[in-house]
Amino acid sequence: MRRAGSCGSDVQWCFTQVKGTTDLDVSEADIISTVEFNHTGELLATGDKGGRVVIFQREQETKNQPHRQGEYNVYSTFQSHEPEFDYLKSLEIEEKINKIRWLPQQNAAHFLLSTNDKTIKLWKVSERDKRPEGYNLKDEEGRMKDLSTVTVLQVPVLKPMDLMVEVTPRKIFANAHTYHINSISVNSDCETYMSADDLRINLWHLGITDRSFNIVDIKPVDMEELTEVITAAEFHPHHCNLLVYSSSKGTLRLCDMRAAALCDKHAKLFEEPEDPSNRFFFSEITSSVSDVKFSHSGRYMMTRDYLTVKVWDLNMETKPIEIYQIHDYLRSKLCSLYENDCIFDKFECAWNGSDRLLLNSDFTIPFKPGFPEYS
Amino acid sequence: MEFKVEAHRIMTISLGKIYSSRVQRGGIKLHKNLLVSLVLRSAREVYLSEQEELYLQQQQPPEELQTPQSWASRRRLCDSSARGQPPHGWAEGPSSEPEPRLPAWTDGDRAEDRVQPPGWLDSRSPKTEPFEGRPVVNRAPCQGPEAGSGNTGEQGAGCPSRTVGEPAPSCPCARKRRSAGPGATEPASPLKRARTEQELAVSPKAARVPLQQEEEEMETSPNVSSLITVFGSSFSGLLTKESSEGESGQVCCDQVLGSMGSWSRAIVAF
Repeated sequence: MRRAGSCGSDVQWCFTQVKGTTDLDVSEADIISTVEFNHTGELLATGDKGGRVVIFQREQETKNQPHRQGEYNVYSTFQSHEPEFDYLKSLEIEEKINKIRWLPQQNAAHFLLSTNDKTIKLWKVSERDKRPEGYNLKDEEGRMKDLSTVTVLQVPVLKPMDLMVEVTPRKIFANAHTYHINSISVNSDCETYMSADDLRINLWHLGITDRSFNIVDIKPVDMEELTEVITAAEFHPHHCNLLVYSSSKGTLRLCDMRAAALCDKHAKLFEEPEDPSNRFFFSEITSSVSDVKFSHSGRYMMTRDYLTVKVWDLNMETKPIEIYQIHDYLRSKLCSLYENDCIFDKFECAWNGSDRLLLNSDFTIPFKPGFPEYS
Repeated sequence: MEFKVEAHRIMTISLGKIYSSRVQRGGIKLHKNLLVSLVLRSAREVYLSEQEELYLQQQQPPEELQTPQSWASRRRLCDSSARGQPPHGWAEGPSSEPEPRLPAWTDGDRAEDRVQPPGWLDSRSPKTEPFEGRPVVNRAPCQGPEAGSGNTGEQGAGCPSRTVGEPAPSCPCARKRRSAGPGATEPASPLKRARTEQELAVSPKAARVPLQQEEEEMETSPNVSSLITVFGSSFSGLLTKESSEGESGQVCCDQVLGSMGSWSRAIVAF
C-alpha cells in the first residue's frame, strides 16, 4: 500500500510493507477493491473483487523482535459475498466488495460492515484463545460418552489454545437498493448507519435487517432528465443528524435529518462555481467527486475528484478553502485515459489522525508510457 | 476538420462503451454510463457543428460566414449548449446565453420562432408552441434528434417529424443537415426516416409497457427496447454478443449519427 502525502514538505514517505503481489499478471478476483483501517489502526481490512475480506493485524511491540513492530500480518480471511443472480431482472450481482467500514469497538470483539453492489453484511470478528476441557457428557473429540463410564462429575476448565479468529455473519441487510451501492457510513450514535447508491440513500439500524428508511432520493420522475448521481456519502463524526453526500457534478450537499424525514432539500450546498474558460472536453468526468471525508474535528471536508483534492470548510459553501492539483499533467492525456477507461477510476482520500495531513490514493505512470500501475 | 474526426472517434468509443456496459457483469453502471453519455453528447455537438460549418462553407462564400473559427470558441459553443440543462431531454441544446457567433441562419430562425420542441416521445405537429414556452434557441430549430431523427440527408423533404402527411415548407434544418458529401447519406435517409417513424411509434408503447410491468427497476428496458429496435433494423450484428463489435461499431456510428435522438434517449435511460 502506498500513500502520497500532499502537504507537509518535511514529511518523508516510504513503503514499510508490501502485501500481495506486484506481478502484473494477477487474477481478477484478487484485485483489491477497498481498504479500511479500524479506529485504532490495529486492524486493516481489505476487500477484493472475489468477494473476500482479508484482515491484517499490526504486530504488538515486543522486546524480542523490536524491528517487527508495526508490521501487519494476516489476522483472518473470510468470504464475505458470493456472486448472486437476480432472476427478476436477469442480472448478475457482482461479489466485489465495494466498501468496508469498521464499527467503533465496544467490547472485545470487532465488528465491520462490508458491502457489494446490493447487500450489506455485518460481521463479528472475535478471538478465541481458550477452550473448555473436561466435559462430562462429551469426550475430547466431541463424541457423546457412554454414560455407564461416567463415574465422577467434573467441572470443565478453560485451557489455553492456539489463537483462533472467528468471523461470523451477524446481520444481512438486503433488498433495499435498486442501484449499485457505492458508500456506507456508520453514524456516531453507533446504532444507525447509511448506505448510498447512485440515486438513493437509506438509513438502517444495525440491529434491524428487514427495513430501512429512505432519507435521500434524487431519482427524477423521468429518468431521461437524469443529470447527476450520488457518488459518496458520509455521516458527520460528531453530529448524528448531519450527513454529506457528493455528486457526479462535483457538488456536496449537507443534510440535516432533523429538518425532514426526506432530506432531498439540502441544508447546505457546497459548489465551486465553474470557470467557463476552464472547461475542457472531459471536465464533466474529471469534476465528478469520487470520495468525501469529514475531518476528525468535523469542521472540514475533503473531496477527491480525478485531478484534484479539495478541502472545504463547513461554514463556507461558495468555494473550497484549499485545492491541491494531484496530477494536472494528465489534462492533456484525458482522451487516452477515456479510451482505456482509466478516467473512470475512483480514488479515495483520508485525513490522518491529527487532521494535519491529507492522504489520497493515486496511480503512478512509470517510465513506460501506456502502462499505468495502480497503488 | 480534424475536430470532426476526433469527435467522431470519441463518439465511436463512447458508443462502444455503452454497448459493452450492457453485457458486462454486474449490470449497467449508472454513473459511468451517465458520464459516457455526457461525453457523447459533447462530441456530437462538436461533430454537428463541424458538419454545419462544412455545409455552410459549401453553400456560401466564406467571407459571409460568421461561424467561430477557433477551437476554443467552437468548444465554448458546444459547452454552452451542452451545459444548458433542459428539463425534458438531454440532446436538446438550448442556451439562454446569447451566442453572438452563431451562423447567420440561426438568427433568422430565431426570429421566425419556428422552433421544434424536442419532445422525445412527442411527435406532435411542429407548429405547436415551443416546449414550456421557452424560446428554444437552437442552432437547428427542427433539430431532429429529439423529434425526428432522420433529418440527415433529407433533400428538402423537411424534417421527418413534419413529414407525416405534411410536406415541409422551406425547413432550414433540412437544408442545413444535408451532409457535405452529397451521396454519402442520401441512400440511407429513407431507411432512417422509416426507422425513426417506426421508432417514434414503438417507443412510447415500449416505454409504457415495461413501466407498467415493473414498479421499480433500473429502467433500462423501455429504452433498451427502443435501442434494440434501432439496432435491429439496421445492424443486427450488434444484437449478438459474439459479433465483431469493432467493425459493426464503426458502421453503427456512421449510421447512427443521423439518428441521435433515439440514441440519446437510450443512453439517457441508463
